[in-house]
Amino acid sequence: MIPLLTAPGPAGHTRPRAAVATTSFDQIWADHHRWAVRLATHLTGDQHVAEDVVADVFVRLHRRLGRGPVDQPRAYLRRAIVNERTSWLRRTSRDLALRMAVGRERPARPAPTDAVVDRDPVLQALHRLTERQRTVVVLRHYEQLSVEEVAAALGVSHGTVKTTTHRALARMGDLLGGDAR
Amino acid sequence: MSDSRRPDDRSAPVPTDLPTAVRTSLQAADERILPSPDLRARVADRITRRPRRERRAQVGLALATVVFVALAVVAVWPTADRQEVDLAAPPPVTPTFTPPPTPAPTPTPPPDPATTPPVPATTQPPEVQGTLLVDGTREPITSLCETREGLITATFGPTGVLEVDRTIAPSAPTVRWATAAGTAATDDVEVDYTEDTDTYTATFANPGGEVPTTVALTTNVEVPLCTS
Repeated sequence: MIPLLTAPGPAGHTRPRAAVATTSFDQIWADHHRWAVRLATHLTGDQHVAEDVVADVFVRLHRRLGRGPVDQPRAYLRRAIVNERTSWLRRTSRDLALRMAVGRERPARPAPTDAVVDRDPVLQALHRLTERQRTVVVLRHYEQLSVEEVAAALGVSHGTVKTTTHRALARMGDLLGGDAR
Repeated sequence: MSDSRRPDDRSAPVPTDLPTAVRTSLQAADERILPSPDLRARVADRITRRPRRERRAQVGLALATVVFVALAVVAVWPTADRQEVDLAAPPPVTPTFTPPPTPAPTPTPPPDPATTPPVPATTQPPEVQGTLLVDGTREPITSLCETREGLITATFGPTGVLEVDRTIAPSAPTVRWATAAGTAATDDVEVDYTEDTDTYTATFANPGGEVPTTVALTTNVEVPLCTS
């Protein structure tokens, strides 16, 4: 068991709010970290990357709790995971460009973890969607969020969510239908 | 259809209800996704590392300030000293030596327009490109640049400053927003990055009459490096 995590605060100065934040962090960790890793894994397709994303998200949460409680931890974590996953993609593409610029071998794109995707054709089709399509499908049909909630989590319009969902499912249907033929 | 588009399991039936199939498959996969036992230790390590790194940055900044002030004092001090000596010293003695008359200077011929290279036009500063929306209203940007470390600074209006800082955590940029009307510290802001449009959207946690709800900075061009 690691030592109890403490909320950020001035060194040598104990604030009453810190104790509340500490309890909240531990509680939020206990309640949500497994779900967070699973959601991030479904979004990234790689559990190692997902755990990095989740670690960064909980570090941000810890800082946030230093200023007061979070009303809806799961909604906060969900949005933070989506944002952090986007940042990870950007970082990865930048690293890739740098490696190509200096003539190093192109690194392979992180493949979906075999243990997760396995042989399930639905998951294989899901991981062939674009990042945006996969995110919308996961949030809509795994997280079972409403269109409005997905739009809020992604910072896009309702119409964008509906269009993206429709195209994603059509694409999955094509992939799975092609498989059946 | 090429083989690369096909799932490997060619015997599986096509699900008729895809949303349900997606949910069922992902929930089945959930049982195999177990967080690493050391994940919490890694989070704790990152939490304790961050303040140390920030303290190091603060110490570095303080040292740089001290060095800068010392250099400024050294650069200014001799000038002030010389002025004091000049004020206190007696008036200099005018020498009685009369120099011989110098020949009249030869007039310089006017430049030949055929051989004189044209004077280059004054270099215009690069045009600031980017879009800044404050609560949906476009705000003219007066300057926009990025340091090598990844600190994007946009200035607008007479006193407005928007900084998108990726120097400490590249994956989690922070934002500082300040105008004469109000400020928002880094901790009050959630930052979203949209890769398609290269847009940073800062949503302020506690918007009020002086602090906007959202600020969106689009840098859909290559941001020039800051010169200083």
